[in-house]
Amino acid sequence: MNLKHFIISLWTAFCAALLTVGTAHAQLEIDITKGNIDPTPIAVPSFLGTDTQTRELGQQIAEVIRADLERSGLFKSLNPASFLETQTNIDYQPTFADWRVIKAEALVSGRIVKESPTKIRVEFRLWDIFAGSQLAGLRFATTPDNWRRTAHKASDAIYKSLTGEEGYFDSRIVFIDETGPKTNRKKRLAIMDQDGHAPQYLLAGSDLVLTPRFSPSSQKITFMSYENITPHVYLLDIETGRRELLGNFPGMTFAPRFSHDGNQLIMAMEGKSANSDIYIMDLRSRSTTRLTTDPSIDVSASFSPDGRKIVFNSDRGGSPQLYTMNADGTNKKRISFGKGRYNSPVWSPRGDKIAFVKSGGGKFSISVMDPDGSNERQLTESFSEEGPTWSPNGRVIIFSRETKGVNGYNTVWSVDLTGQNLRKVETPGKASDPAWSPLLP
Amino acid sequence: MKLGLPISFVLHGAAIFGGLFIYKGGVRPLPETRIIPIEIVSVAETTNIRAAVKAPKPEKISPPDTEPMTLETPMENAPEEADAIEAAKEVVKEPVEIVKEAEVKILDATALPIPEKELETKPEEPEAPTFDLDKLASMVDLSRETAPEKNQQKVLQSESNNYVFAEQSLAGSGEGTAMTVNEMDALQSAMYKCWRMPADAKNAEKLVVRLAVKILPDGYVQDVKIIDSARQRRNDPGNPFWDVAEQRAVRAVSQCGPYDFLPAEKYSQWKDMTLNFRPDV
Repeated sequence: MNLKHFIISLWTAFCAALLTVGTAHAQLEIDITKGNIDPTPIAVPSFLGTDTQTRELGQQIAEVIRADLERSGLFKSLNPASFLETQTNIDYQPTFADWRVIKAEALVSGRIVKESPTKIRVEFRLWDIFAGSQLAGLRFATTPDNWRRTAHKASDAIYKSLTGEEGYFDSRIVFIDETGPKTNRKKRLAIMDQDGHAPQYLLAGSDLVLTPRFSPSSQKITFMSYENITPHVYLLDIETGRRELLGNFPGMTFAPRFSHDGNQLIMAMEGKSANSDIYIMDLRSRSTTRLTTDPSIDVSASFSPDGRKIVFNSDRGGSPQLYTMNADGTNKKRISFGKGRYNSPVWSPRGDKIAFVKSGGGKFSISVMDPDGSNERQLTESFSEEGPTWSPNGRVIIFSRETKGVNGYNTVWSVDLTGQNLRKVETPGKASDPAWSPLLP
Repeated sequence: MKLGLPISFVLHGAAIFGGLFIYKGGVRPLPETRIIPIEIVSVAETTNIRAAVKAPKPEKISPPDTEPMTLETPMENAPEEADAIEAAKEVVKEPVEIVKEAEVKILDATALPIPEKELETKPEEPEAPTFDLDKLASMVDLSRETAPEKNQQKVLQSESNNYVFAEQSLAGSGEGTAMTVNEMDALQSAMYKCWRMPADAKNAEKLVVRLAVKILPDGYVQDVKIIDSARQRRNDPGNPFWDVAEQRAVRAVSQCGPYDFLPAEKYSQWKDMTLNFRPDV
């Protein structure tokens, strides 16, 4: 009986197999795993204007947009001399074939309308040349002297439509402006647009100021200053200019950073035994909580964007390495295990990476790793690199780089999360310790 | 008794397999003869019946020169004037000596309106008239009202379409028509040029986009559809890069056409394909 069953099932299986063979190649399925990462060619003709002033503004706005997009490394701005079509009205669809010929994949066409002597309207449309459709259409009402920010806002909208992530062009960078030789260097806190435009000093005098950090949610910064004999952490509201000493602690406080929501400050405080520990200060109640108690040096703490985790630097294992812990100080875990020293970790606003400085063998590098310590990747390398800070969208890192020797000086550089597109950031002079603001409101 | 049947199976099996090996060389080669080329002529080509219903030849379709131009494209995704952004006015003061003067005033600005995105790229090429049954049917539907004798034509035309499809599927059947590794490679390397991989996106390796692609016999893309979008998105819910990942995959397929490098005799193999865009970072 069993045998009979066995034979029947064998036969059934055989028939089934035959049937499967007969229908197997029903549809071709192919995996595409390799693609290019070339920049998207984009055409940004001058915005149309109705009179000399608006035409001139239109040209300047287009230039700023082209420069913004080009600097991101994700776009290649096509030379306006190659454009075949000259649009005279942006309310008509462009002749897509003309733009395909010059290999543009996107087109930005805009115009400026003067509404009153003090008010202009900037409008633009973003076209997908291959799909033949409009991706975005926006209109801004503003004053003529505010055209730069309007251009940055337009760049942000274009960037978002084409890459899927928020832009970072309408933002600013705080940095330390440096003058004088290495032995007697003057350091002043300064701020500029992210493209290097409109630099200005934030503080009077030439106090020794270090490690400025932006609040991720408002136009406030925190920094360390040697204004008193002992260095302390200060808070500065850029909008009102109000400066405030944070807490009157006996030891020095340093390496401050805001929490994700801007309501807390995390910093290191030096105790009596010359070791430092990490403290959180609530900015509303001004109460402090101690998070680490280890007899080693714990420093450079940075919150994850969801506020649940903290990454910090500690030498409890013998050399400076990176550790993570919960926001309440529990569950401390070492995440870096490579050769060399790991310093200045900073959690990406996107949450998926931690940037840090790695040093060893006389070289410094800006590197990134996943929050669990995996996928460590070196992005840059030179004689000395410090202070990585993320763009508001978590795609670009800026940092300062110092040249070798007695005449060595600092400059600010930017690099992509992928290690591509390394370029110098324009600053008025020598500069270090950059900090990127969130997007302006 | 009980063992008899299995023993018989085993022995028969052994005999058959053994025989295959033993008599492998036993077959004498055929005497060499000249190969006479023959031409297979299909009956349909020699009879009037088919001539009467001869299908219009599929024309080579070129991408449209221009889109139909609408005189006024409404700025539908632009905000109303009233909602327009009072873009923040920045009061930039000169570098100052007193802290309080170094202020940068930023007025309120409302949030930017979210630009509307069109995910599905329209196919570049108009559909070939030969295969557009709906269109033909609708044409005939119109004629039915005015000229009843044309109803006959409708039947014939639709039959002719069937015939064309049958011929194509016949051409693709049989041995040696499976796509070779080289042909797959050609397709993959073409895609390499056209697909801008979302390499720097968050969790890029999870952004797998599946496309159902229909291609016309001359290699032009007839239709591209995103399939299993909701199911794929469950692999990494909330990733802001899904829209762009899908957009880029669709763009790669439409941009890479025409796929005239694919072997015409294997059309039945590649007329319907599923392409999985799976970033390998």
